[in-house]
Amino acid sequence: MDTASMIVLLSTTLRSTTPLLFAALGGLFSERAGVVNIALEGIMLFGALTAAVVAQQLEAPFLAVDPTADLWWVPIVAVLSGMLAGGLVAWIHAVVSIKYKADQVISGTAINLLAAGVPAILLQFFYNNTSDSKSVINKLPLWGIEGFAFSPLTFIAFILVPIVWYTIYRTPFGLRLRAVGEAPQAAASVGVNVFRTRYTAVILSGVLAAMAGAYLSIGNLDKFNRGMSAGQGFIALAALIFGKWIPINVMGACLLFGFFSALAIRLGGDNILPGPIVEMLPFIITILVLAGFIGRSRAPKAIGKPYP
Amino acid sequence: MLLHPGQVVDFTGFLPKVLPDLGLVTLLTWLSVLGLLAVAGLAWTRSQWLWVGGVVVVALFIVSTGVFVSVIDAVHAPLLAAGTAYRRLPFQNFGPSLWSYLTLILGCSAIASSLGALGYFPSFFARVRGAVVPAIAILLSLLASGAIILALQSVPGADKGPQGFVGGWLGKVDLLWFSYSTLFGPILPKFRPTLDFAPLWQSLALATPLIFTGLGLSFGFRTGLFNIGAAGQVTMGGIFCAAVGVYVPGPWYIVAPLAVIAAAVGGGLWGALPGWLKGRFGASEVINTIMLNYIASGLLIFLIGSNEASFFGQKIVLPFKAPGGEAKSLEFGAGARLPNLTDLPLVASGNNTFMLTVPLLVLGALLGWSFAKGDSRRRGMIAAAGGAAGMVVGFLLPRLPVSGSMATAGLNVAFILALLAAVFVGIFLWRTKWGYELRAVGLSPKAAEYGGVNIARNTVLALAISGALAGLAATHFTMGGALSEYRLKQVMPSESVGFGGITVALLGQNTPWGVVASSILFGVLGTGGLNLDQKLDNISREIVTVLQALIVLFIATRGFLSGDFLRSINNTPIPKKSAPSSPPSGSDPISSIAAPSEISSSAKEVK
Repeated sequence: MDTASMIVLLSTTLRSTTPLLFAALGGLFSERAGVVNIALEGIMLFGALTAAVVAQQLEAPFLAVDPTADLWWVPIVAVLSGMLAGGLVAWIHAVVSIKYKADQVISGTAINLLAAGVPAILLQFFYNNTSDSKSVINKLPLWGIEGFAFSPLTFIAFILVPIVWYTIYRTPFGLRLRAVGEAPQAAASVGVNVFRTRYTAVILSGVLAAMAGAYLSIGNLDKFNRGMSAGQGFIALAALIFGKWIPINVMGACLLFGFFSALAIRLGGDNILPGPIVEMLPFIITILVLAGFIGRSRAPKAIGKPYP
Repeated sequence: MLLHPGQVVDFTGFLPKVLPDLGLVTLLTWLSVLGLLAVAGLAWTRSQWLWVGGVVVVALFIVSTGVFVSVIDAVHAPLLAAGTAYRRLPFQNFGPSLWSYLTLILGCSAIASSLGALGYFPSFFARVRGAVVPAIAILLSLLASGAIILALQSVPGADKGPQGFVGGWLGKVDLLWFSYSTLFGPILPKFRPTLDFAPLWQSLALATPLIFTGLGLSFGFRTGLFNIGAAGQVTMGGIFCAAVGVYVPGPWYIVAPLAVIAAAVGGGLWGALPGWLKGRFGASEVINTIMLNYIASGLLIFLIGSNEASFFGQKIVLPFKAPGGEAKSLEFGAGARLPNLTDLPLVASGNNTFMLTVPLLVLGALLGWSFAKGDSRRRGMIAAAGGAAGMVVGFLLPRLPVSGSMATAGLNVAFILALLAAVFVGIFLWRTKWGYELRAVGLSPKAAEYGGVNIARNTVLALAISGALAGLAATHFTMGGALSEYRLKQVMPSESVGFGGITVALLGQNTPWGVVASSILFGVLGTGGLNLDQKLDNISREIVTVLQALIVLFIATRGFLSGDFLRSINNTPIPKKSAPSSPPSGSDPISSIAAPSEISSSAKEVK
């Protein structure tokens, strides 16, 4: 393999790692607080949809006047509104699973089902078809040198890793978060508001997962497509488990899984392994990790349990 | 009727020349309104009047509907006689208005409340307590989806209809009414021009795979396991089933059962794997089954996506895939095809007539079972005799003419298999020792273990059976030819069927007949959603998916009912009627209400 194709492989890896990293860091907040967030997949789709539709609707009137207008603010507003949407959807998950003490997996499944239906309905309303949105002209820019350039969100994703680490391990909020996820009763007995901490964590996770979605729709592509998350929310969940709920390890796991998907793209034309088989690797590895074949990973103690 | 009494409200702008004379219908409806008012007044003093009044109002509704239909027919008759094509008739889709249905609902509730006043209510409520949360969830999600429809869809032809605040709301109510009646429309057959059950057949065909996956999911839930992997199990079932169906030659009575068993084995293995991982290593079945979904779909694409693959430079030819661009397998042999229900003897003779044999068989068996006295063997024999009698009567009765669309609906023998699977689950879980152990594990793993139940083995068993049931759903798509060809295709909707199974299992409160009923409900909604999609511009059929999601959400929150209320209806003893036959069945309703919180309870046993 020559240098040029190495660089292509590296940049593809970083590109496919970005959404995984956002979603996994989001999941980290929620799961560290003791709330399983299987809804990451669905929230990604909501974020992607909102970002694409907001960007397209915002730029349309300006482009109608001047097709070459420089609308640098459009993608920023789009990403922010995607984050807002993700936070709102995560809030639903939080209300159902924290306030009403529903099973967190069922609640997450309901959100994922919503994400299978709602986009189709909104796309039908806005664009009169049920699968794609219209292409966005003002998508996120690329930063970097020719051939090795990335969306700003890619940089943000990697910068977030130390920030999340610091938040979890070095701030009062992080301490409360971990306490609530390990022993909510004990945390409550020293005055931590378990409900508020969990709400914050789940909503934060939705905001981050929605950034992953926004990256997919207006960073990587230029439009929303109903199947665009393609299980990446679940791979992110897998990376979270593989990375043992520790930010730096999670980043490593995301890079590994990102590398696999880059490899799958690359091997699609090669003849070492068939593409579909390579794409299975992250899932197989996760199963092996969960079974303890590759290093045991221990979940936060109170995960999945509603706080009374 | 509600806002513009006795007037014609037109939203189309194409008013037909001859309007039906609805004076009598209006009169009758007003009469029932008066009747309701009278009932309200009289019931103030004597509660028996509620009963009488309710019956009168319901009877008035039936009469007025009959008059309504005959009035419409009176308008149509001369047109038909003059040779107008059926689909050009002015009132092709018609139905009683919301207002007259309101009188029906109020009449029924008058009867219900009179029964309540006479003391039947607590017992009735206690008997249907399992259905309280699902019913409220359905109502809430219908309300929510109504709001979505109103937000997205403007009233068609609103500019030509009545204006102003009242007119606007009139249009909105009309739109909502139209949407709901279209969604639920497939329950009723069409009567004109000929009796046509096509929408119902299509609904049952859509329900078939959901029954399988729903049964599989509920089997897992009963054992405290959340099997999200139904999608993957359907896919693996399809792959195994296709391997037999494509490659094994022979007569149908050998190949078809083999292929069905292969589907169950494929799904069962795909369920047993996470079961083993959980039992042996304690790995969460939730994550593992999700991962296995993607592995299964990768396998499917690998097998039928392209004709050759290369491993480390070695080219391998994959013979499974049919030549051509579309991702599908070779065609199934003639022996591995499940016939359409209409092609079975004793169900239909030819394509245009339908025999009453099967409905009467079911009716006879049910009557026999519920009215017979004695132990279950005796009751079973009487039920079988009743079924046979129904069959004979159905054979002798005249055939019903139906229109030709019956065969194309895709309703095949897999539907019968699904019903048999429901019977199997019912018997296995509530009538066998293994089922008892599984439910014990589901209710309290620690207690069950203390009682000598092997948790690990039961986890594997439960997920294997759960997976096998889900895998059987593939028979509908492959052997049944529901995807219009007898092949394994990539377009097999395993994902929607797998996740639909979760909704169906929760809505059916993890009981076999609840699963069957809610699958049929979703089959009906799916068919109605397709119709709605065609009739309204801005609404796509995915409104049904949203409805599913909302139902799951509302069931998860237990319909926003307070815990006290649910506990109180759960603790009301069921008066008289058969005493609990075994200790666990007495505690079942509690577990079914609490099911969502019991899931993966093995992780929740703290103390």
